[in-house]
Amino acid sequence: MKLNLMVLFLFLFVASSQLTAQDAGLPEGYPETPRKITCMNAGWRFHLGDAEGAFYGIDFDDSQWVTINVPHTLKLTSLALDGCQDDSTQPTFHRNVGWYRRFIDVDGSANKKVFLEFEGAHQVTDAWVNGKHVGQHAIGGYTPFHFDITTYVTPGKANQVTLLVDNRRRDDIPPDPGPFDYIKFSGLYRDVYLVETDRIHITFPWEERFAGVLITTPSVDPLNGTATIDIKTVVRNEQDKPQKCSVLTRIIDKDGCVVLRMNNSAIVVPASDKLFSQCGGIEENLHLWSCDDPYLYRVNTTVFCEGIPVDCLENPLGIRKLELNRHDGLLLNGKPIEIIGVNRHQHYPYIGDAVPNSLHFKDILQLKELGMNTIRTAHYTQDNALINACDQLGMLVYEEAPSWINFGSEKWFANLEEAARRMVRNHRNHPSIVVWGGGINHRGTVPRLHYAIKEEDPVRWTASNNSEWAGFQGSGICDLYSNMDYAGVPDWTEKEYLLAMEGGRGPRVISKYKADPLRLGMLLDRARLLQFQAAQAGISR
Amino acid sequence: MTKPNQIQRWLIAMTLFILCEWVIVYPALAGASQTKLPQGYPQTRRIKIKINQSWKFHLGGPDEAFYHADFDDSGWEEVCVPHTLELTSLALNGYKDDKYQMTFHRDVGWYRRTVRVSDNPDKKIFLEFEGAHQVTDLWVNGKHVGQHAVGGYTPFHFDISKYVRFGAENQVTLMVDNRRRDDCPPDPGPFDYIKFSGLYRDVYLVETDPMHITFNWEALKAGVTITTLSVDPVNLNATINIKTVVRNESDTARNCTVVNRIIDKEGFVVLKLIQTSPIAAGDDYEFNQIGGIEENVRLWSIHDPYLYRVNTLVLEKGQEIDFVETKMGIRKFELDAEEGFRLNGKLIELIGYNRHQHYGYIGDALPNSLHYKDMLQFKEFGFNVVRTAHYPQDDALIEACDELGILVYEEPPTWISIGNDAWFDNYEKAARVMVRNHRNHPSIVIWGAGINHRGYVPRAHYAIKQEDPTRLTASQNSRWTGWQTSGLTDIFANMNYGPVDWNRDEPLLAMEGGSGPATVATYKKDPMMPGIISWTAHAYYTFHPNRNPNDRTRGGSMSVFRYPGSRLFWYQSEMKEDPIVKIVREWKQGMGDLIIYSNCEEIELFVNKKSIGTFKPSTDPRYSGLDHPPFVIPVQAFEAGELLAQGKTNGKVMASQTVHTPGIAAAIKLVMDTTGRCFKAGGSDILVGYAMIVDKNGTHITDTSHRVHFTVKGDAFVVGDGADIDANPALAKNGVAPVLIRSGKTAGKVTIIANSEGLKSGSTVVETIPDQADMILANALPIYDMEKVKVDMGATGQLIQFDWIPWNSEDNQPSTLNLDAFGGIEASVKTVTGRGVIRWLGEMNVIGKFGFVYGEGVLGFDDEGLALEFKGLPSGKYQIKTYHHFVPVSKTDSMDPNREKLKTQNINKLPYAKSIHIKVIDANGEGAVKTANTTQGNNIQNRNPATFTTQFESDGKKSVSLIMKDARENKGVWLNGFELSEWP
Repeated sequence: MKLNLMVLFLFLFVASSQLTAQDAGLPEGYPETPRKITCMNAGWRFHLGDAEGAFYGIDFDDSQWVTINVPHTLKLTSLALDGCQDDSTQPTFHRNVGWYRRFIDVDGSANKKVFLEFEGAHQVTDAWVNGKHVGQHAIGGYTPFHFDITTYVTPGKANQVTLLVDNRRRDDIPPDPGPFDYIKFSGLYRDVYLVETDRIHITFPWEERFAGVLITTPSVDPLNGTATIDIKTVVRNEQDKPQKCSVLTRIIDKDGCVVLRMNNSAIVVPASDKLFSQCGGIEENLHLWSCDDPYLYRVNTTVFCEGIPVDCLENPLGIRKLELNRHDGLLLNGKPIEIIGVNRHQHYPYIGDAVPNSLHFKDILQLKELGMNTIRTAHYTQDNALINACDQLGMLVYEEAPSWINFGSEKWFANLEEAARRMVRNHRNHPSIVVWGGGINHRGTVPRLHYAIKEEDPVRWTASNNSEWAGFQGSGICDLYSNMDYAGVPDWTEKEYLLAMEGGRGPRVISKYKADPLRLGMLLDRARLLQFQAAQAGISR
Repeated sequence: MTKPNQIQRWLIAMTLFILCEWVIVYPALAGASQTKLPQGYPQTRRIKIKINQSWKFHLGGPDEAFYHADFDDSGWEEVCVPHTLELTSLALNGYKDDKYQMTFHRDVGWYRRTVRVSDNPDKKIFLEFEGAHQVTDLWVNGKHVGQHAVGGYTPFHFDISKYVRFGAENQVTLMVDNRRRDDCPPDPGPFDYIKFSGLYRDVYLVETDPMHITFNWEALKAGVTITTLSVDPVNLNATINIKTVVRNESDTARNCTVVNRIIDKEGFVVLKLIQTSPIAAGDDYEFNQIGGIEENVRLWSIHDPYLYRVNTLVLEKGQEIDFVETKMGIRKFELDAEEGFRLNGKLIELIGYNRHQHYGYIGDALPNSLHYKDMLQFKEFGFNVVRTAHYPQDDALIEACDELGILVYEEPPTWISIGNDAWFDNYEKAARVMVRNHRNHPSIVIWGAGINHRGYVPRAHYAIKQEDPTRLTASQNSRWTGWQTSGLTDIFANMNYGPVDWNRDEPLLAMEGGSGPATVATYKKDPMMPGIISWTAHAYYTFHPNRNPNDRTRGGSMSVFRYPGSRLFWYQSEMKEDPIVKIVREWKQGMGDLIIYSNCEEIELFVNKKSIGTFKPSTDPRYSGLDHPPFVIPVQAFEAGELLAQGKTNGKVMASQTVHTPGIAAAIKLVMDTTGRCFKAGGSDILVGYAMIVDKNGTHITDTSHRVHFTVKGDAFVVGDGADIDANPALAKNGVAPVLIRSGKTAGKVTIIANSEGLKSGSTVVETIPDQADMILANALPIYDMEKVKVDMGATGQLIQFDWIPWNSEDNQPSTLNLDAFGGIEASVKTVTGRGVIRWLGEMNVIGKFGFVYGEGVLGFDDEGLALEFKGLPSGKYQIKTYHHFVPVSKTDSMDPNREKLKTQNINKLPYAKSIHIKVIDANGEGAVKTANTTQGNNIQNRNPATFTTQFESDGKKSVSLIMKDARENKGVWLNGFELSEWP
């Protein structure tokens, strides 16, 4: 028991403080596979500006460049936004590019797949490896992406990597071209990883509608303590011959004990993906996830070829049931819960969006200490560390794709849809997330966003996040009606639930919500924010 | 004239009801036979032909080799599917089996016929079976194709492409083996119902292109899967996800486009989803499409079972390659732990019956018409739920539930015991195939995950949830052992015949239990008891021990021939809106209390025209919770003759019934149950009739034991004629002798005559209509796939949304807009005289569904009016809808990013026409003047803006104009936008 507590404590400590220090050896029972994930945050050479600089040559001398660590912002920012006088389309502030260069050591095993994985960068990223252009990511600054650099690297050697991270204003990348009432900061501002895998490997979750590992719980019974768990795992064969693979999925409780094993085999043909679909359950001693007791199981997915483990990933699993009824409003695991929380921008003084994982965690810890139970990731998709913190600390999440009031071109819309899909694929396994935003302050619902999100994740609610001045004041095609409540929501029909995804604060407002089961809850305006809205003289921005 | 008795009245009422409602709505049911595909229907390479007829049949001989192509079967009997190995008497042919059914129908049947396939050798050829008892081996042209050995209640198919000769007749042999197995549930038993035998469900020949949509039951991802991920009964919209799996069995990769069209009942396409992908040779590809109906979605409910059609079309280079069509009903159901079951947000109590697929004489071999009739009868009695006890039932039954509005609890076959690993594998497969085959049916809300086991069956639940996470599973516990709870499944379902170990922590659904008003009352008054599915609708065959060796049918509020017991009429009074009065006991000496079922407030009784009093429904506390308890009226002094019951509400007679004291048996009244159905020629269809023993006044006599002999004139047969099953003559039980008439090959008039010694005979004439074996022609309905364009007018900066084309322009000049729609047209707006004034307005906030459209627009002043003109419209019919709304002041507050700009607007101060005269000038000249009344306001959340809708015709040459003018003087005319579409 003592040992278990120690392990538990260590696990919590490691997970929550995001320390990456790892013992030389894997813990007991943990599969050792060719997959390696190496954090690449440290030791980048950085140069600001010169978009046309062509600084990607393998022999380019960057020794004069400043050495920085990720998360990184192109420029540090004063509370006065460095005196910049932009309007809310932000035509000049941080509208620049940054060059980042470093070497990476790649495994000597010639037969491995090698990827660079980015949690997010503002906002168009070009990558070169050993002087060769690998690709460009130009969907937006708030969602993850990766490049397959297998054919560009020399195994067993240090390989030169150059990134051009371009934050100049674009017509086709939401929330650009604006307006938006917050700052879009800049730089390589989220974590970077080197990922090496076998040629038989689990795909990245954001690659396709079905990719990576997808976990759903089609039945959760808080009363009888049972849950049904559906897990879909996509394995890719990048060998040149068919391979019989088996996927072993183990649900592991907090003490490390396996409570469910599911094992399936199939032949995966070369250059193709195979979806392994497994369904089972926990039938005894189920431990639910809730705000008060955010218990997490681990889903360990191990791929075997001829009995040898070739890939292994873990995902969190929090088992909870969410329902709505007219007496109680929102129920979490059968118990009524009022949504009381805040909107949270990822801005931080001086560093803008370049917030280390520890500060994401601290934000949620602080909100938890203040008694909040929900956050909205206003107005874009936020860091994995933030969502992990919400899972671990028991905070419900309303997450949304970056848009604000206006619409752009067809290309813009395609990027917004793709950003929404990536958001869902990246975070769909997190129990903390309960609502996906289906648009921000538009003139009514945005069916295209709702449809894309529902296709990706049919099990969560979408919220129409209407403007209070124009458009239909109803949930419309979305599942929940959400609106700003700064001075009441006079056009609400009261025929459906209302979630104030923004609004006023204080006991009087909250009491109105707590008293009415149709009012699901209130998310206070802005925990913190920097913005270019008509600022009054002398007030910090 | 003789007065109709109870059952006759019931049949007549149903006839009227059904003829008016259902036959007209469902032309396919009426047998309307078309010879070519209707307008807009795709003509693909798929063929689906029903091959129920002309099978040569031999009973027994499992080890024979009757499958050779040249085997001479000319001496065999010719039969039609649905077919049972043997007809069955009410006494189960005298068999003395126990519940393991060791010998009864434990035999094989050989079936042989030829099938002609098309002459294109590239085609894929399949034989599709809806179900057969229980192991089926197939040979084509003497070669063994395969065996299906999962079970007798689920569909399967064989790919026979490699076995056929194209453009020729091919010999097909089936051995359908019903011998007892250890590994095919519900075998090896025990089970408390009969597992009948034979090739008892429909058989089809299916031909497709090598690139084709797969069968729904082939895999977890196969065929067409339709789910409705969000359904909003308040705002009336729905999100629809359609997954289509296409297989490419060609040698090369092919480029495939899937077009899914959602079509309303009138035939209009309301949603069209298009997706293209290459498919490698030999691969399956899943097309995953999502969209929605965003306005006025018509929901499916038990009162309004509205069905859309989903037409799934496979295209390659614009050519129509393959298609399937699936019905879709959009509904939202929730099980609220505190309030009960909600359908589309409204609470309903689930009240209905279990239904076995057994029928007198024919066992499981029911034609589709009788499956449909069963559900029609359910509906007529007011039931809203059926459980398909104890196995998946016929597609026709589930389709009937979709069309009639009956919720379904369906379950895979098992009963109490659990078998070996192979048995469990087959049980899981049967569960998966059941779900795959029926998952698109809106009527199904619950999948049963086990029957009367010692607790729930995780494996069944997991398999079903993996196949279909959107529906509820029910653990159907035994009441003797095991954990009494939902366990892992979503609903706790139990048999409720007596005390149940239920702690009220969660709702309890009685998936079995008693019936009648006192039983239903306990459920209706308790929100924790969402419903009762009584045991059983019809008597069913069983080897369960009973006291009457001459009748081994058990249970049933109706006979195994569907003749209803009187108790059922109470359900009508409770569940249906129409005023009803039903006297349910014969008016005769010693009858006991008079029982009347009625939904009227009170009943006045007249005996021989003399009022004997007015009575209220029973106040017995057993009935508390009911809307309409029975009337229980003590008979003080019986007086033979006529009894009239008048049902009154607010003093007004709403319904009445007259009965007479029965006399002596004198005649037969033969009622053939043709209501709500047609009788199809061909040999598969069966019509049921009831020979009723009546006195000389036509009053039904129940205490007789006459034997009734049936004969037929015309091309039809009495089922059981000549067989030793006591079907002809048939015993009149409670004064009713049933008869089943099987159609012959040719359509025409059929006279059925019922004779019994000492009674005046009865006869009825019915007509058979030709059957349509081509299933595509039989079911195809028109598709009106109309191109539509939506234009939102206003000055630069107007609020615009997806799907709407902005039309921005400057003041005081004509403006034109080029649209890609209809092959490229030009729209223009101008004043008719050319001297008028046009102002464009932008940036007004309006609350309302499409507030961005009618927030801004064009204001036109002219003596002759404002003209909206279209040039280049191809010849044909069109519909246009125009918006006419005025916004006096913008909706805004300090949070509004447009607030500053809005301060400068002043167009809203100009005078405008409250009433607009609109006329069309089209290919037919100048149309009549019609009127639209302009709406105004910055909040029309709960009302609609003024719109004007009209159809017009283009000759393909002249332009078409809409002229809009102030109806009274010359104020400005508001035009905010329009929707223009083709029209059929």
